[in-house]
Amino acid sequence: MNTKEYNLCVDLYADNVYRFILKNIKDEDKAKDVVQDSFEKLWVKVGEVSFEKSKPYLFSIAYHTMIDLIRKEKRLVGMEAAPSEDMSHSEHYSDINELLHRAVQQLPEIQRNVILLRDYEGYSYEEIGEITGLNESQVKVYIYRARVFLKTYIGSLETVI
Amino acid sequence: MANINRHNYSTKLIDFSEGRLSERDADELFAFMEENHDLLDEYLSMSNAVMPILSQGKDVFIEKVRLKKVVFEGEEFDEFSWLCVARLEGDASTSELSELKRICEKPVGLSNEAALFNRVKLLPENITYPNKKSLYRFDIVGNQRLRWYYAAASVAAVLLIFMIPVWRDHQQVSVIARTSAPIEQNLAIKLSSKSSSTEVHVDNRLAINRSQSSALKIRSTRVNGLNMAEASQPKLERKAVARSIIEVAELNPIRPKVVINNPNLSVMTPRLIKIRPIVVKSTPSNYLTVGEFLAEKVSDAAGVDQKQVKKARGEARAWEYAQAGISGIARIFGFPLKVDKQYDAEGNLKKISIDTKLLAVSKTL
Repeated sequence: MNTKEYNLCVDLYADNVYRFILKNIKDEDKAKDVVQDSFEKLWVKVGEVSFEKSKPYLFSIAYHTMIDLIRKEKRLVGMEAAPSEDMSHSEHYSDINELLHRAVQQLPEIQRNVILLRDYEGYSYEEIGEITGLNESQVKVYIYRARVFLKTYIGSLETVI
Repeated sequence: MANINRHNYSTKLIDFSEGRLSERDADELFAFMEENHDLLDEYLSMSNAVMPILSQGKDVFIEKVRLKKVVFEGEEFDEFSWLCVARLEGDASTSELSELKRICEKPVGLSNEAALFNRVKLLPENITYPNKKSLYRFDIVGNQRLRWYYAAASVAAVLLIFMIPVWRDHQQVSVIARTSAPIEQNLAIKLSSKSSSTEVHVDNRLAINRSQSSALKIRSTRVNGLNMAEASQPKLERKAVARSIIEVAELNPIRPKVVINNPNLSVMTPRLIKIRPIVVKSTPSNYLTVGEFLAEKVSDAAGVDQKQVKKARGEARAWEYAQAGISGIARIFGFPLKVDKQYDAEGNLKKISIDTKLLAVSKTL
């Protein structure tokens, strides 16, 4: 990948990476730092990474940088933690998408990551596996669990809406 | 009897039929009806008729299904959930979709669950990274030119590697010996070409003929923690030598610097050693240079072959310079550089590997 292709990566993927990180850590400044670090690391390896592989490579860097950050701040609650049973809903939701994004925040870390990569970026199970270090079966299971949780969540609120 | 008449008897009859008439009033009603046969006949004909009953089944709430809550669980529901998710993810085959349809038709409420599954797809929010400009990178030169610079950098690296030793030999770099000193520590003796008043170049020939130099000796000692080198002659008394030897200026205990204060003066014992620069017009090779003389004498005193040390050390230093030069070029042009250096137990460079984008060099010293 040359400098021109690298800059094209910035144009194409900076928003996606930023959105993915921001939806996870909910802190704009830290999300910006993660994006900055990720592109720095991509630049260091610019001679080794092809343009075609740059997006999953970038997401993989960003994902692991974010995980490191979360662990550093001791905010990681455990990859396998059960979904929160708290489905209280005093807020008022205008549409289903807003409700879903609120529900996503209640997912365990790993389930949230795979569902965001799947729905936001349209990654295949295999690509999600490459980014997160999971195998394809694990990715499928986490997506399934996340979908069931989201369905249950919005089902419990449907009469409210 | 007076209470029941043809105007109110029907009320009494209804009360009787619903069991609300007392026994006394009932007897009174029966007596009245026997006296009025026409009314009795009318009553009997009505009581045989079927009384109309209001229907209870026509006005019903037809969407009870929606109100019902069903707890779905068990293997079949798990299969149903998997199929719903598979359909949402676009993974479900035709047969799986048919199976899902079949399952949804059976229990009440499952179709609602299936509809819910269809709604749990996230839509990306419009979030953008605010400072993309900070992420851009720019080439110093165009890509085609960059390749040329890579090549030039590599050539420069090779030239640096081979030219530095040549340059060093030409310049007679002043490090002349590095050895295990007889006084415990590594003794690196550096001959300076500068003095406090005048300069003596290390290449300057001395008025010491090579054939005579073996009669002269230099002894290294350690006095008050300082490395000292002194010239002496075997027959000379130590006291006499001590006053007239080469002055050794101590810079630090490990790397003392030998300084010749004034080349016009006899810096060694005047009677014995005449060290003064001369202009050698004929057979200069017969005369030692300042550097050669001191190197020879100091290494004799230290008991090492300084030529070997000089060669190895000089080569190592050359490679270190080469690596520094290549690193600088790599930093300027931003191409990747990997340097791997291995040292021996004494900290001497033993192997160096320099890997640039276009050139990889490895040298064991």
